[in-house]
Amino acid sequence: MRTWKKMICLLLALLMVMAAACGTSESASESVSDAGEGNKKICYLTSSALGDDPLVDSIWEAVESAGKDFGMTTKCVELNNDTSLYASSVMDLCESGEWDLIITGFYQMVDPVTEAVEEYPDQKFLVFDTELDYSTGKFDNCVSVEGLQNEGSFLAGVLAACLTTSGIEGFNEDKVVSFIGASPSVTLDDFLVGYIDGVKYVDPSIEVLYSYSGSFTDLAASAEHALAHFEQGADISYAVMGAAGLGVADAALQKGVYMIGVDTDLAAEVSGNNEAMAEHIVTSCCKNYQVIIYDQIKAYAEGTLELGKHTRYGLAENGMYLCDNKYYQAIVTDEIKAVLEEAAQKVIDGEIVVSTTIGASDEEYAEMLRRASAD
Amino acid sequence: MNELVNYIFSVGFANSIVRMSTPLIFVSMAAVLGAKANILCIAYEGMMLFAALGGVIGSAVFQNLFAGMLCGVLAGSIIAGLFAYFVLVLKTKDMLVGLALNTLGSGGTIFALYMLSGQKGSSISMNSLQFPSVAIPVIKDIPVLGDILSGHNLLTYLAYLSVVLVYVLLYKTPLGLRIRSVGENPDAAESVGTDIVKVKVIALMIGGILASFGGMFMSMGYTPYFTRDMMNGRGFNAIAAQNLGVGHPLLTMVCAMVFGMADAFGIALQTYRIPSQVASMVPYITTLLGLVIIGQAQKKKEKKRALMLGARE
Repeated sequence: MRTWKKMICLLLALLMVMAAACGTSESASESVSDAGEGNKKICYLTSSALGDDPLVDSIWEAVESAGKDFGMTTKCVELNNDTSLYASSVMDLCESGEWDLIITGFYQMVDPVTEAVEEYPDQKFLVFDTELDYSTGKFDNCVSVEGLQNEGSFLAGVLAACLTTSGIEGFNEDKVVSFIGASPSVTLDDFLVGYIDGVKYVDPSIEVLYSYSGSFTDLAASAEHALAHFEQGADISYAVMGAAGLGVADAALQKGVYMIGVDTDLAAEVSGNNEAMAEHIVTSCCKNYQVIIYDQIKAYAEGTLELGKHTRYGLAENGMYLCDNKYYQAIVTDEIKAVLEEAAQKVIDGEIVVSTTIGASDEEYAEMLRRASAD
Repeated sequence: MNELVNYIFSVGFANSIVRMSTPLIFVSMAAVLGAKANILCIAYEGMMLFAALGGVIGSAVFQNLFAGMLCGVLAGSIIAGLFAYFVLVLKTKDMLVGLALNTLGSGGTIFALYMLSGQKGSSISMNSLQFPSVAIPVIKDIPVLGDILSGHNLLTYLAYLSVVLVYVLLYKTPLGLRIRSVGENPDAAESVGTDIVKVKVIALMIGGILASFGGMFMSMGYTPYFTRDMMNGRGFNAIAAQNLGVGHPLLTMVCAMVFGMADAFGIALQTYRIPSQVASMVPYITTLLGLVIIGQAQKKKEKKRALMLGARE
């Protein structure tokens, strides 16, 4: 009898845990708009979860609003970073045959999509933030879109370099700027090399300190990395990590220096109840997926979507932008804005080709990093 | 390389060690109490997460630091209490319960955060409070040393104080004697009328409070926000520190500080262009090296004891 009681207790406890841990994996949020006959159905499959990463949220917003505007049913499936679910979830969605278009993205979803299209070649996919290899002929029913993080980071680098040499109050004499990423990956390294290019465009004698904190969620670790950089003379840090960027912002606040966020207007987010911290966030470098994804769905709704094609959205295509808000306006002078505009124009005109780690060999990558040191 | 050495002997580096070892010290003291009472508890990560979020929510709701602290301690104690109930009363496997509670800590805090703020990533939208930094009079005016000793968060000082408290509790009070005897020889303890379960529960609950402070330091001291899974294995590192310190409070504190130093060193290395993959191995290599050294020392000790026993016979 007692054993039974124990078993039931343990089972209940485990159930509770399971419910808490994976409760969100299916249909956490479903918005059905205009459930008329024959309307298109779109599924947004994210490898992480809503609320984890502002980028993931902004894409869902785009999917939802496009769904409303064009009378489509939309649904979000969250996989909570559970690698074991990636391939099977894509397969399940294809197998159900329910979804006209599946939207998913980031490099970790390329393999699952590749597997799925082999079995379900008619299933349409919209893949973001990574490129599919169309030469294989497998992806004839897919489209991929990508915001060019290296070009956006180039602008962030130009801004950081201008500020560190500007002599504006809060910026020191040392020609040192900082970069902190979550963990080394092709995408995050792409942010780094673009940033280095931007800094060197302004002044090759500026040194770029860079390190990886190892986590997207460990605030304390990112704060420590930032403090180590600030200790060595950096006065502005570019933090490419999800929520952990807040740690860098806190370190900047403590030291009276500045930081640049990514993916969402970080200053606007913290300004609600931490105005002091917001004043130390110069800007954030954002991918314009809200617009990009909306446009793709619009094209799909209108039947003008070109399948089997990869599109890059750089500065020229408005794929990347630096957030403009009152904190940005308070710090960035007109002269710096002019330099930024000129640099952006040069990238748009093709006069400057920003380095990228995508498709680069190890040697080329090492060479790009070598440039981080002061000349 | 010269710069690296300079940095390591700088005030900034010393402060970094102090900050990084604070949560480890709190939790390793909890682990010391657990180990002395012979309880294998790995649920500290869960306790820290619950306490970190509880403190943030409490301080945001009541706009009072003390109330926030109480909420944090309460939240952390819930996990400690659950662990005690399952392991000591229902006699379930400690490892399983610990694992389950850590998962509950991760999932449960995200769930609670989402319910309360609509966000799953961080407590950015909550107006929570932070424990203040403390400048110690007189000491703060001493050059160099003043900068290292003064100006830390209130909880950092509390962490070092907790080492003394745990030491006194274990070795100078009747309760400490009972905890140790229950851990070392439960039969003997029971034969003189000690309620084993009660003593173990008390040890666990005190540990839970200490671990809660470790968690609150992360979200209300070190940094001003709670983020999901923000402990990042610190609960486990603390258990490792306790093992390296062979369960002695002072030695454990030293080990926790060595871990903090290894972390800080790893960060410093990266800044000097050492690849991050290599640099992030430093804390783990330190742990392994420490385990080897302690293991060797203990082996020698045992050999000696065996020899002595042999000689006596």
